[in-house]
Amino acid sequence: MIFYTSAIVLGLCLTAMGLGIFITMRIFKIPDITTDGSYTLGASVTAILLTTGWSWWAIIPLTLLAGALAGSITGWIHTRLGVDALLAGILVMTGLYSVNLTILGRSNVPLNETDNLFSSLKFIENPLFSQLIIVMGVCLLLIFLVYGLLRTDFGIAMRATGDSETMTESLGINNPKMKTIGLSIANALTAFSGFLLAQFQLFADINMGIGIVLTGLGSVLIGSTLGNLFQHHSIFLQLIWVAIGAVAFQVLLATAISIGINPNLLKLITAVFVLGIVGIPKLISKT
Amino acid sequence: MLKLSNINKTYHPGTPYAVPALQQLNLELPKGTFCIIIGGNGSGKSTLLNIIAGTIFPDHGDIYINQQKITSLKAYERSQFVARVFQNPHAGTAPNLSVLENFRLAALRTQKKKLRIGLGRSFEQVIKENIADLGLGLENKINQPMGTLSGGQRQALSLLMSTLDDTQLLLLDEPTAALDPKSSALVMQTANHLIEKNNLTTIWVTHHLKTVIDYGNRVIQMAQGKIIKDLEGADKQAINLQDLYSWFD
Ligand SMILES: Nc1ncnc2c1ncn2[C@@H]1O[C@H](COP(=O)(O)OP(=O)(O)OP(=O)(O)O)[C@@H](O)[C@H]1O
Ligand SMILES: [Mg+2]
Repeated sequence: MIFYTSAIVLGLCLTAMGLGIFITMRIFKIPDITTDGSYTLGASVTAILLTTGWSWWAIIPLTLLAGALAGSITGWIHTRLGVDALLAGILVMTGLYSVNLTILGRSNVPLNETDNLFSSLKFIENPLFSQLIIVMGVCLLLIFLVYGLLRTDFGIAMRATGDSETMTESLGINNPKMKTIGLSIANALTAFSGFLLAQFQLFADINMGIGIVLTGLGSVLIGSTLGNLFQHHSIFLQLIWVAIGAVAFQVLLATAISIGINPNLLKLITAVFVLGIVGIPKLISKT
Repeated sequence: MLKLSNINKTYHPGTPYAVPALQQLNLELPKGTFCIIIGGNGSGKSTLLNIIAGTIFPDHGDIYINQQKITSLKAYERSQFVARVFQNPHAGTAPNLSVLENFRLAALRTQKKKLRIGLGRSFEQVIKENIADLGLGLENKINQPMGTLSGGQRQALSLLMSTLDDTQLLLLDEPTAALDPKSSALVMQTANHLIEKNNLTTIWVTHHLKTVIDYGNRVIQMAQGKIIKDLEGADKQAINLQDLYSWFD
């Protein structure tokens, strides 16, 4: 029970990143893998500031800013230098590894001794349930914020940019700028997942981001597969399904471990899961 | 209103594939001109429209709108003055956005897209009335994704979209080429209605010679990147189909 509840909390912590990937992949149709770096970046900034005595709430804007900066660099490389989005993401992600190592100062920073989001807001005896409620609240807030943004005139312009660039260009929208802003928002959300996760697992690690983009992709894909089953096409429900997808993904991984699969194989399982979600519908539709 | 002076454009200059698409082209359109452009394939019509809209830049020459030089403005900046309807209805509309959301952006063509909710009741009402005026019965579909409509319906809507926000110059590049004869006639009537109602300065590229007879107050023929015929007023009104066919001999 505790085991699965942790998986759910973990999934909810990763929902912010899922929303970020929803923005890049679903809205802008850009494959952005800056994620691996900006996730660790968010956790590193959080860890280092928490250990130097900052309050968790004061760290939030800095985490978001750090992530947004990473995303805007990817956006700039992609849109201004004309570098393929995938390569731009790899460049920034690789560069961020050194940045993160510099911020952390070593490969792992424990946070057991610090006052953090979860310890400060703890309101019931059971720590795990307290974490669950807090992170649920945070996720709902984020979903409402992202939904609100996508409903504004600016948000409609963002969505249109991913849909038809010829149209948006002829309607006064600066496509390169719009994509850069989209990548910034997405990576700010990803860094925020790093912020949550560092405080949930009580450490930040230089390697925590490796392959995390697949987890995010998997969440969005599971979410949209389930959402399609229920014929949910409204943006709001799609965002809710991202959260459900993120949780479902972690529960699946937890199940894999609980039936005795070697945790060393976790990344392989992640990759196979994502491949399954992408590939199975294709295989089914062919037969 | 629009003035092009000495426009030159060569694709792939300095290579064996160099194509001089526009050569020393001069054109002046006073306000309210409804100009139809005809010409063979590859005569430079689309290139001309793209140069006016700013999606490609001339090698030489300048473009003015209302005496203001806009040669170096990017396409998204020129949308201040210029509205476009593309040949492909998919290019001019966003399929995954609702009809209403498409119209919201079109209504803000010359304005900033701000962080505020603009899709209110009153906006919806205005757009509904505008769409109802087209007489296509699409006013009940405004909350559907644009992609669920047919090509002709989308094209008619993108015409309406192009006239929503203070349009000074309307560019249409074969807007009916992808449509069946019925939709095509409908889109042409819609366009003509909107152009006359708003007294828009318009450039309409077409291969349909009958369009030249039925619409517009000026006709231009292009060949090899140059204007080779330019008729307006009574001369334009006097043209018949026979004459037009003979232009292509
Ligand atoms: N992007 C491009 N790169 C290279 N050459 C081009 C490009 N676009 C157009 N051309 C060439 O420039 C010339 C003019 O093309 P343009 O598209 O302006 O013709 P058009 O009059 O619109 O023809 P159509 O009636 O077939 O649409 C043609 O020879 C064409 O091959
Ligand atoms: Mg053409």
